[in-house]
Amino acid sequence: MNKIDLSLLLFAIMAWSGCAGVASHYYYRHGQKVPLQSITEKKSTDNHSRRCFSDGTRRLCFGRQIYVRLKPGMGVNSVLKGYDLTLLRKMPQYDLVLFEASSPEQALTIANDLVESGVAVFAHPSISKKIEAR
Amino acid sequence: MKFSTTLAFVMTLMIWGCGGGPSGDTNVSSGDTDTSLPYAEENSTIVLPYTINPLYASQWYLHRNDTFYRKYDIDPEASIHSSDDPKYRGYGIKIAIIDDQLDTNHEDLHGTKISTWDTDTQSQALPPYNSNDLHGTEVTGLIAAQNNHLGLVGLANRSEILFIRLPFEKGEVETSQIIDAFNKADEWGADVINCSWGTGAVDDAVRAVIDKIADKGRHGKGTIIVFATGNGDEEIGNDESGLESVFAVGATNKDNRRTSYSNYGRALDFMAPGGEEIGLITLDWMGTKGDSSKNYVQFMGTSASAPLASSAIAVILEANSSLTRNELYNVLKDSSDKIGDLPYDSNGFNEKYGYGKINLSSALELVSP
Repeated sequence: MNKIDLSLLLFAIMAWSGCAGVASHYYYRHGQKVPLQSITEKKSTDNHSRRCFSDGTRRLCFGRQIYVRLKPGMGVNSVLKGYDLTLLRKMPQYDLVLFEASSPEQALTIANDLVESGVAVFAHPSISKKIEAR
Repeated sequence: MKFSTTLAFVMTLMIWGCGGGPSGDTNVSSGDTDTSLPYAEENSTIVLPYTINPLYASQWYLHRNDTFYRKYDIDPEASIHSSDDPKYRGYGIKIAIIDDQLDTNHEDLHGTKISTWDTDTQSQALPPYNSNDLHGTEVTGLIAAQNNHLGLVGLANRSEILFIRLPFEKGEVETSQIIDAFNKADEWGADVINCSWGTGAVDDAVRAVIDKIADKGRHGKGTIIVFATGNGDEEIGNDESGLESVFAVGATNKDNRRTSYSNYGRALDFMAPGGEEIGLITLDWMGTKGDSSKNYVQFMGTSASAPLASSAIAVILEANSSLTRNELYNVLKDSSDKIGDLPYDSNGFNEKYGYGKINLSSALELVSP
C-alpha cells in the first residue's frame, strides 16, 4: 500500500468516525444511510416504548411500528416468514404496509435489513419527532 | 413559544395601540360590535362587499386601503391583490387545515361549514381548550373568517373547512399521526391542504403519502398541498416544505420584500404576505383565552403566508375547478409578481422569492372563463 492509499484509508476512517461516531445505529432516509447517536431511552407510561436518537440536528424517537414500501414482486407473507413481525395494516392507496416488531430496537434493525436485503424500497420505524408551528 | 404566537402578542399590543382601522380606533371585541345586525351572508345569496367587516381596512395583506397604507407606510403593491367585492370566494372548495386546535365557536366563524378530526384521539371531537394551542385558530381565520359585520374576512370565506388536529402541545408528533392527518384530508375530499408547520425531518412514509395525495387526490387532478417554509432565515432542508410535490410558501412584509426570517432555497415556490413590522390581523381564541382579549390578533410568520396562499388557490379553483395541480402551479408561476432586488432566472425563479409573490387578481385573469 503506498502513501496515497494510506492517507486515503486514514481519511476514510476519520470521516467514518466523524460522521457516524462509534455508534452503530443508523437508519435509511430517502435512500441515504443516516447515522444516529443514542441520546436517551424514553420511559413510557403506555405501551408505546421508544428509543431516542439524534441524527445530528434533530431528536428522533423510534417506535415498534415499521412503515414499509415493498419492492415490486415482494409480498407481505415473505416478510412475515423472514422476520419476527406482526402485520398491522395494509395501506394500498399509498403502497405502504405497517408492521410491528417486538421492540424499538428490533424495529430499527429489521427495517434496515429490509432495505439492505432488497425487500423494501424503504422501511423505517414509526418516528416521533419535534413539530414546529410557524 | 411559537414564533408566530410570540409576535402575534407583541403586534397585538402595537397595532391596537396605534388603532387598527381606517379611523384609527376600531374596536372589535364582540361586546363593542353591533351584534344586532344579521350575519350578512349566512344562508343568503346576497353578496356583500368586504368593506362591511370592521377590520377589513386593516387587512393590508388582502387589499390596499389608502388610509391604512399611508399610516403604516405600506408599499402600494404589498397585498395579495384581492378584490373588495370578489366574484370568487372559495365556494365549493374544501380546504383541510392540519394544525393544533380551533375555536370552532369563534364569532367570526359562525356560518362556516367545519368538520373536525383529532389524530391523537382518532375522533371528531377536538380536545378542550389548551392555552398553548392558539395557532390553528389564527391560521383558520385568514382562510375562513366570515364576511359579516364582525372582525375581518377570510380570503376563502365560502370554502368548507376540514380542521385536522395534530397534537402540537406534546411537542412531538408521530409518523402515524401525520399520515392519519393527510389520509383523513384525502378521505374527506380536500381540494387544498394547508400546513403551517414542519418537522425538519420528513420521513419516507410521510413523503410517500404526501406525494400520492398530491398526485392522485382530487379525483386524479392532484390535491394542492401548501406548506409554510419556516421562519429561521435558513435554507429549506429535509423538511415537508422541501418536497417537490408541495407548494412551499415564504413570507413577504409590508415593504413588499422577503421578510428577514423567511426560509428559502431551491424548494421555495411562492411568496405571500406574512408580515414583519406589521402582522396580519386574524382570529384569536374568543375572550380572555387568546393572546388578546379582543377576539382578534395580529399574526406573523410563514404560518400566515401559507393560509393566504391556500385561500388564493381555493379561489382560483372555484373559478376553474378543472385545473390540475400542475396547471394551477403554472398559473401561479405565470401570474406572480417578480418582487425584490434579486434577479430572477430565465424560468422566473430565484432562491429567495421562488417564482415571486402570488397575485390573485392576475391569476384569476388567467383562469376565469
